[in-house]
Amino acid sequence: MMNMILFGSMIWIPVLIAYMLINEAKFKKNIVIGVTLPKEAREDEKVLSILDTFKKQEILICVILMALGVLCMIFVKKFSMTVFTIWILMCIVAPYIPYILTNIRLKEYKEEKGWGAQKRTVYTDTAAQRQPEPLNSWLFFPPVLISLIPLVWDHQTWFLYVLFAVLCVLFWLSCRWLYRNKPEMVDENTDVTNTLSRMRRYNWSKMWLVCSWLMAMMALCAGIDFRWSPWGMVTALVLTVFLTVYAIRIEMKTRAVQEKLTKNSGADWYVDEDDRWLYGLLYYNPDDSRVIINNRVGLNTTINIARPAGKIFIGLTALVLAALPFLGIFFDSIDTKPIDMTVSEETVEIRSGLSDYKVSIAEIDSLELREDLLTNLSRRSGTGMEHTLKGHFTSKETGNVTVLVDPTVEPYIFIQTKDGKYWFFGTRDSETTEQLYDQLKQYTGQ
Amino acid sequence: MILKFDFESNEPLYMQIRNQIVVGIGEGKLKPGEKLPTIRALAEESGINMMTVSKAYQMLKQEGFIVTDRRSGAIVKKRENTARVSDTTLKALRISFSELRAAGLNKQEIIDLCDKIYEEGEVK
Repeated sequence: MMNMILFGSMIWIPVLIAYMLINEAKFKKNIVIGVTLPKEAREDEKVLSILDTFKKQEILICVILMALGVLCMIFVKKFSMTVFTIWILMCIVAPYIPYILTNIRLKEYKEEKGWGAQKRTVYTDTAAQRQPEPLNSWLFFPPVLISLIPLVWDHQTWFLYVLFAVLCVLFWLSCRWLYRNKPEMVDENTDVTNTLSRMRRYNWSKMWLVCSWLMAMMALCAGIDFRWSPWGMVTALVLTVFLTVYAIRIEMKTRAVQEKLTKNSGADWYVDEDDRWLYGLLYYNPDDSRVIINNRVGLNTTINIARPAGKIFIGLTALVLAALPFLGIFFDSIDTKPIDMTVSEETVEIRSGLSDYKVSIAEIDSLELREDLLTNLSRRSGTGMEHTLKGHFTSKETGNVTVLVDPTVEPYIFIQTKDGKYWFFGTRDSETTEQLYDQLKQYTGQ
Repeated sequence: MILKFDFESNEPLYMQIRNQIVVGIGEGKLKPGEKLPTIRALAEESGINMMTVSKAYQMLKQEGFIVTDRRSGAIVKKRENTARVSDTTLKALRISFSELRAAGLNKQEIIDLCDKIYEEGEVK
């Protein structure tokens, strides 16, 4: 089941990456696959042939990755997290291999044809206008307030609503500060420069504002889910899909405008910054004192890896990518670790990995052997895996509850202590849990 | 007007900014009253340090090519035709003429060259 959720929820990733990368094979701002070329290159047979090969390679990789995903979804029964993280890593890395190779081929051909530009040169248009913030910052304020509304009826999971409110504030900060307000100069046409800059600035702000409102809706959904499940969960899923589709749409819309407005550019003088873009992907420019850089194509921003902050960022990103499979191994090991439960005259103790919970027998107020899990069990902190639930959870029946069970193995021992706390324990073996329950009953005299 | 900054040039960046704006004004590409990017904007667009851009703008202000205003930023100054040439310009002109003479050009050839540059509005 977990396999189906893991791979099923991510199977579209190769299609999305292939779609975005194949779109880069269209000329926008005279750039194709990260290489700036003159207008004549758009009809050059060799350039067209290189681009055609690139598209075919991307489609092939996409099909292979999807097929692998489906096979893993059906056949992998053990170590599913490890296999999943390796597959995700392949999905992220593999499509960029043909991109980089195509970028190198195009750059070589560019040199061969003498289309190269003067290196380490920057151009600015004195008539280009810096775009003011198109949206009022106060528009981000209502989502912050809305995120906190569920606190009215749900105090237990307050941190979740505060987190959503903080995210709304972070989105406002990203909107303001993660953007380099630089005119989008393509050639000497100032009108095009101003239109491209205005459109990008507007879309960038709109994107973050929509994200903030969606976070507020998510907070409401979480609040609703706590009281009137499962509608909150269903709405949250719909909102996530909406956000993903919206983000892709706004990116593609920006690219489409960039393509349309610069379709006649490149015949005379045009901006060429290829010497600063490694493989068309990474910005490396020691001459640039800025850290945040706008991507040349689309809406996104990136980092100048020539700056110390950029080096740290790229190092951490590489580290996270390299650590992905190890993370999978780690999660798989948690899910297979034994759950040891012991009952003595003084205490009941349950352990799995580093988690260790103890309850004093004298403190036990009531005891129940349950065949079903607690209603609407939702994790606050800890682990929620296919075969292991451990940590601090909330439930509709109990509110806060400490859990350490294998949810696939019934029955479970449900304990309430005199201080009003709830505990939900169970081992990986039904008979053992039943025997431990009998022992508990005996010691507590219930 | 397009400003070009060459990071491999021996000419300091602040001089590149200063010279290009002066040439722009001389050739009429930058009209009196025309707004120039603010120091912050030019620094952000070009990636050049703000101190460097500020240095160039200070020079242009001192030489009377621009006026700066806290709200409007930098504006190309309207210049009176006083026929007065600054000592700095005269010194630079002397050096240029000397270089041309040293290169073997006679008076008429130098005048023709000046004439041509003036008419074309190009400084090479």
